[in-house]
Amino acid sequence: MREVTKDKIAVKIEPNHPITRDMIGFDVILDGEKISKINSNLGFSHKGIEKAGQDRYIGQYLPAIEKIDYFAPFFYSHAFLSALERLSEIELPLYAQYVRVLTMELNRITSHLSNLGRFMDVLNCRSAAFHFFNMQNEILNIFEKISGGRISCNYYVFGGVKNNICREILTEILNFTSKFKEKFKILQGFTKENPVFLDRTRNKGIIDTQNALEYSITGVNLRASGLNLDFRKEKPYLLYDKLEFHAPTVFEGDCYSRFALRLDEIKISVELVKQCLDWLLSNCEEKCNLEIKLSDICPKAGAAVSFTEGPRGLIMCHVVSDGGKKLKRVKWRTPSFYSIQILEKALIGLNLADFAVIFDSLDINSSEADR
Amino acid sequence: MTNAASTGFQTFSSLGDTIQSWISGYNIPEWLTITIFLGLYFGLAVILAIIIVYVLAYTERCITNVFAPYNAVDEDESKKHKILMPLAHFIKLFLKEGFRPQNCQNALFFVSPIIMFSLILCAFCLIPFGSSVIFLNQNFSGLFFMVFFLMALAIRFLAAYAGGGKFSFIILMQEIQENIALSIPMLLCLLGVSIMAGSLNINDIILAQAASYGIFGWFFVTELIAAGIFFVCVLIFFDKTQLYNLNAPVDTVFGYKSEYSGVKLAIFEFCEYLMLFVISLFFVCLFFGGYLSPFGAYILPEFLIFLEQIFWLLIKTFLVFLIIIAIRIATPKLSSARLLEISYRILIPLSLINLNISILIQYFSGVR
Amino acid sequence: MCRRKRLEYRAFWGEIIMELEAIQAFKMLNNLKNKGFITLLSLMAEDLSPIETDISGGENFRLTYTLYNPVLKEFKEIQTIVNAEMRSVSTLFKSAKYDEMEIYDLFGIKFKNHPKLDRIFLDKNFVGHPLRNNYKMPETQTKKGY
Repeated sequence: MREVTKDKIAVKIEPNHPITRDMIGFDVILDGEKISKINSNLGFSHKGIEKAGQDRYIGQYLPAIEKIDYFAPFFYSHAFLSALERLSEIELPLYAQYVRVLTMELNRITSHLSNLGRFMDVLNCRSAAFHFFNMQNEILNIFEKISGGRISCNYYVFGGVKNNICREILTEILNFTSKFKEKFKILQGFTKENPVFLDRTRNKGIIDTQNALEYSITGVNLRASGLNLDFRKEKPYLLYDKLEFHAPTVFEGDCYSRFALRLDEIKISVELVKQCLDWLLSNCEEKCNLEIKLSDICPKAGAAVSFTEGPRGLIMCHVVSDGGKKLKRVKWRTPSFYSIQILEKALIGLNLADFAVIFDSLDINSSEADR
Repeated sequence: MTNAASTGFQTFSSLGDTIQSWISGYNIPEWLTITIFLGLYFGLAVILAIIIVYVLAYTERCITNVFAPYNAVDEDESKKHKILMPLAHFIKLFLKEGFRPQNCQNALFFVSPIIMFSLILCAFCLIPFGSSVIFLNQNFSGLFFMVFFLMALAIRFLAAYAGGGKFSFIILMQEIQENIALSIPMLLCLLGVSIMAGSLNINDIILAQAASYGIFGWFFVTELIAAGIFFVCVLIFFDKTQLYNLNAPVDTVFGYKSEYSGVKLAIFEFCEYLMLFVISLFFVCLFFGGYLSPFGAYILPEFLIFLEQIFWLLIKTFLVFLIIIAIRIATPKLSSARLLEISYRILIPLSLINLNISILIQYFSGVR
Repeated sequence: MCRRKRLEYRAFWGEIIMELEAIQAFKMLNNLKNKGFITLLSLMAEDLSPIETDISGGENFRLTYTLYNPVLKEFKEIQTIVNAEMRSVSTLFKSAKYDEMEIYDLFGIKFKNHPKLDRIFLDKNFVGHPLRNNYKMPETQTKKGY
């Protein structure tokens, strides 16, 4: 209370604060109860991933990538490996493509569920939070049976996947998708039909399309403002040009539309999972063991870029190599880095109580922003 | 008893009378009898409070298991009853370091938990547990109860101020607004009920609900609006904190308890449960007949009637407590601005309407 | 005197890549923004000098701008080779503010007319620019606590 200047209070939201529960610091200047200026301090979870890409062999680098964003490890593995595979002009076998799509869509479901569950905890509604977390837990158990790890699995390999998924695990995933419809009604009841939820999130943090494009925002945040941009359809990778799906758009651009859009995307991911399961259940005896020693992977000289649609936005991976065993330069473009910039703009004039709402609706992960 | 009357209290109960006569038979000066009497009362009340809070904490744990089950744990383990869990929680808090921040106000910091606890005990002693087991039977005991309760809530402000941090300051402003906005409807409801009953004495309010047809003579039938308003106010007052939440209320780190740790924090959490219990006792006394049985007559013989009265009172408060906790877990939290809007635009006008209706009813059915 | 190998840059998924000098690159970016390429998806920097030199003279860094046009749904890439300074594009593309701070932090390239060029990831008292090729890890690095 010693730094009150006229009517404004300067408050520091240090990292690991209960408001954000992430490793970002903010310097906030409050005017009464409203925020008048906000600056962010990044760098608390900077790991030097890009430098590590130059010092490690490629096989050693793969587990490190999965720690960039601990909720979406499959997406980052795929982004890196698809750039390398394009560079070396390798085509993936069909089985590996189906498995990659399956696991990536399951990962998208877990990421969206954890974001919504965390938000219900912010609102102090514990039973809703546990419904979301229990559903996420079933999928994490499935990941454990596939690869041995719940959150960071190290399952993708240069040229395919490590081992195949046996029939029992596929039937478990099928059970999950068949029970999904009733559980989804409960989840909708907690969010879309809950008047307190609507009251807390409607008409707050509105971002219009022009602003979003200038700040380079992609993914759910952009689709909630009205522009239908999905990089699975713009630059189709793996099998997305053959599978049928349709990502919806909403036109309001406030916090409620972002949360509602994430709920709808879970439904679409489940349909994609069902389509992959149809093919996999009939061809699940294929072998896909690749015998490449981890330290011998040696891509050709050149450079390549890969585009992946992650749960929070667009993930780009630039890879430059000179033909040796270590890469010359790896550059990651992560979506949370740009969401923080628009957070600073969208928060002016709102209370501290709305800070947590908007922060969670933009789906910011500090570990991803800092790399 | 002239000793007690000279200090201004009127002890009316058979229990208090017997204890006092027993003590004063030893030829001790007046002030000593009073202090021993009060000391015995507070000692007994502390023990009772510990038992009550233990039971309440355990029930909250069981209910969270029903509404918010965490399926990651083995099913066999999660079904084992964790009856010693509240004990573990409080022991853990006692063993932590009692950290004192630099900018705190020293005297208030050390004293505010104790003041809160003693105010709640003062409120606790005004409630009749039976027609002959009242500790203090004053003419305006309903109003005194609300005064003690609201003062105990106001100690939250002192605690937030004593913390001395910037977040505590922001919390202070918010909480003052909310407390004022929510206590006005409660007082108006109390007035409405007292007009129907004819006095502000809690015992008289309970006796005014005694009729031969039992449950339909209670005040929740004729004063449904007031009961609803009171219940909503109680829910909102205690919506913010739960004992076993993994993540604290978010926008203001931990509320008014942000700067406390160790024993002081344990006392604050203890007092939260106790306040909830005490206000639900009051709620039951006002609207649900207190210690009256719903059948209109008692089963046990006359010399054991106080047992049955205590039984009915505790059962009713326990049910009210269960409902409050169940609603608390399953519903999200309102933002502060919306809360103020609800109270000033909906609750206060409704309670005034209720007051007018009860005045008109009493006027046209003869003056009491 | 070491020879520098220019790496082959492959077009991936049909993007158009242009390699320009610094001043022309800025004008081209301005033009493209007026034509509708309003999104700067990413800004990448690379160190082209060979690994074991002490002197940094001559042209060293390559910057790559990736632009996107949401109406026509087109991508474009522009590359420039700079020495140690470049004109900032944060007036044209708002998302470039943090990108350029990051490149200054890790590579040491300074951007003119940037609103606030500071270190963003590393500590404010850090010495050196880690992603340069001639950066050597010191044995101890002290960091000021809070």
